[in-house]
Amino acid sequence: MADARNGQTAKSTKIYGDYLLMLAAPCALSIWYYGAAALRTLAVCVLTAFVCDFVAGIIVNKQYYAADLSGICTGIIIAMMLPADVPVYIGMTAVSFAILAAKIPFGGGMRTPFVPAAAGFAFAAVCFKEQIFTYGSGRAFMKSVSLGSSLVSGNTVRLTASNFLDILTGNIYGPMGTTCVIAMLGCVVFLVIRRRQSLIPSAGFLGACLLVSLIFPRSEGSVISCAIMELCSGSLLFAAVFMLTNPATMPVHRANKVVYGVFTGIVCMTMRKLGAFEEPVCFAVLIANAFSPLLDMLTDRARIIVSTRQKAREVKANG
Amino acid sequence: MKIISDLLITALYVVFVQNLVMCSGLGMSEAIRIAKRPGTFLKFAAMISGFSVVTSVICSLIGIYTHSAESYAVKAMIYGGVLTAVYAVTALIVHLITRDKELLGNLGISALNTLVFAVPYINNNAAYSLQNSIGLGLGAGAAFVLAAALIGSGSRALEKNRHIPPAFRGTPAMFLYVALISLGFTGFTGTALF
Amino acid sequence: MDKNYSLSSMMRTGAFRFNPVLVQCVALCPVVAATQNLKDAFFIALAVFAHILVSSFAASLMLRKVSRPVRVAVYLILGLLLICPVLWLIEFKTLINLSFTMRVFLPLVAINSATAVHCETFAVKNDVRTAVYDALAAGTGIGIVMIICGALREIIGSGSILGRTLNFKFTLPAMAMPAGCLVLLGFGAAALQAFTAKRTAEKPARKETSAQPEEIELEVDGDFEPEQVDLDLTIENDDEYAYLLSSVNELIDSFTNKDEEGDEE
Repeated sequence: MADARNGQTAKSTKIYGDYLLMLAAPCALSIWYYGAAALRTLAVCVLTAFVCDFVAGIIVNKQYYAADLSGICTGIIIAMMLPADVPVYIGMTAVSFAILAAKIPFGGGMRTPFVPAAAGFAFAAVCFKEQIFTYGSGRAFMKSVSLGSSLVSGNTVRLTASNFLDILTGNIYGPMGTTCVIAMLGCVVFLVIRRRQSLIPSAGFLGACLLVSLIFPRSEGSVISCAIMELCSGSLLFAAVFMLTNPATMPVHRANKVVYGVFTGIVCMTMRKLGAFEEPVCFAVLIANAFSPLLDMLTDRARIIVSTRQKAREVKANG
Repeated sequence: MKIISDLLITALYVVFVQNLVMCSGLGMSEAIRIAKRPGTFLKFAAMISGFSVVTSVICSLIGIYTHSAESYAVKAMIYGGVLTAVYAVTALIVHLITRDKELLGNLGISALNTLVFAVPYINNNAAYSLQNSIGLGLGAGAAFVLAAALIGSGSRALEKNRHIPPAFRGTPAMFLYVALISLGFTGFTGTALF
Repeated sequence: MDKNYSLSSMMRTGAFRFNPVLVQCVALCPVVAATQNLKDAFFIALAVFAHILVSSFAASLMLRKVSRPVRVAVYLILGLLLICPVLWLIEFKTLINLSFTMRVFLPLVAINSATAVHCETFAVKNDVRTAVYDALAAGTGIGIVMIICGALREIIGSGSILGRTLNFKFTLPAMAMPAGCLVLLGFGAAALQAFTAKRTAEKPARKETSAQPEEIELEVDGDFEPEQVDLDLTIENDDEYAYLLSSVNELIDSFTNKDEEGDEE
């Protein structure tokens, strides 16, 4: 049991260590764009994550696994999805929920059936809908509304060279650390080098999101502009890199990983079109996480049935 | 064509958008119980859908012809009475034809649960047409099975997880698991059903 | 019929140690959907308590010879006859200002799974006193969970208690939703499980120094064979009531799979 726990912690350290390295870029950019406000939100989330993890670990497991970096990672991921000037208690609520309700009770680290950051953000979104989707001012931004709220109101930004560059560099209204496309692409490159397999769901997810946004554009005007806005708005790319790549929550079978990603994309885009929240990707991730063991279970059963039939056929053929 | 599309939209709405079990807890105890028996999912889906459709259609017709259902106490008596009658007739037919005791036991669970009983209320509250009522009834069965399948596969995964702290093993972890699925479904509507 | 029951012991076991909601996962619908505030929770708890008590009494007294498919319908009718007149009085005499949620969910109590489970596992198999004791224990257990959930959900979710504002800086409306209630139930069940495990660990040590606790015997019909039931819970207990409560889910499964012998005619 102790060996298994140590093995799990070592694996968790490796994977979440990678995430921490990848998160350095969005963190730096958020501080660059939003200054002290971003630093404060980040510090509050990380500190809350550490305290919750430590206290709950001591109470529940009688031990705090310092090498399990998932708690800290969850804190940073949630901070990146929040507006920079969000009240302190919102960050604390989101992170506390993520750690106490979605991480610790399931054994933490690589054993959580749901992405804790998605659970924390979803909980905070239900509780503080207005504050979480109202983005504050930072440096010189392209527009006074986020891409997500533009799409909700059916408006398209006319893409020019300058505002396209703004979108790529994250110089737009939105969550403090998720809007920079270049940083996300950098993370993807890092993952390609380190854990290529974990990008399978993300590929399915982005493909499904792109396809849905092309078929059912939410705003009038150029379909291409709308699709680019859909992909670059809110936390969609960020979730593709930091939530869907979580090996603890994705299905085991490779084909199911694609289905899982595509399913998340369809649910996310449906929620964006019909749902109650401007950025519902975390809700979509939670639903997809719930489907993940079901997909594996169905595949296993199908394989058993096929192999049984094959054996029966072989027995029959052999007389 | 419009009738079929109305029926399908209502069914899909109560399965995926506002899953009746996950978003409002209707029939949750039964879903958790049935979740352990994946082999019975389709049977339960068919039975719950059947009872829901028949009950909600009869209740709609009674509502149209009597105009009396202003009081929730009267509504409860009508809906409960209809549900009991539908169950009794079905159980009697099953008893006379097959005498299958397992089927009779499953009929009780399928008919007499909060999900089936709540369907006429939802129907009445949303002022659904006949095709919507049928869609709602069909969707109720599918919503139940979707919830049971999600809970069942999740609880199997939780059983395999040896790292769950002792205090959370079993029911507590399952409650939290269901809570997080329910939170996910909240993303569609952002509100509770009632 | 030579039995030696103690209400306090059955209450301890049935209401707390094997709480119907937190351990047996029954009556989840009224708890999750209708306990958004303390007032609603109190009325729902009262309705559940009354329904389970009346149904258990009736089941033990009159329904033993009736087949199970009929009995489960009788519980619903009994519940409706109990709740609807009260709801009608509340509505037309405006005794209490009931919310829309309550008007819908109060009648749904008539069909809650806790009543059917406890009537079928205990009431129809035992004498009236045992059935009533079991109903009291189950009703109390459900009621306590409902009232605690209602109070916590109102305080955390709305920042008020019994309608009085508490002036919190912020509230968490998600707690008033089903997901929030399930989170509370999860933590409640974990606390109960930890407490029970601690008590069970302490029990052998205490037994050595104190006198033997009062022995509880619970008569079970001959057709029920405990050996056939696989127990998931490993909590040590030596009274049969606790044993039956711990295996209640398996018993329910056995009911749905196979009806009692000679019960249907």
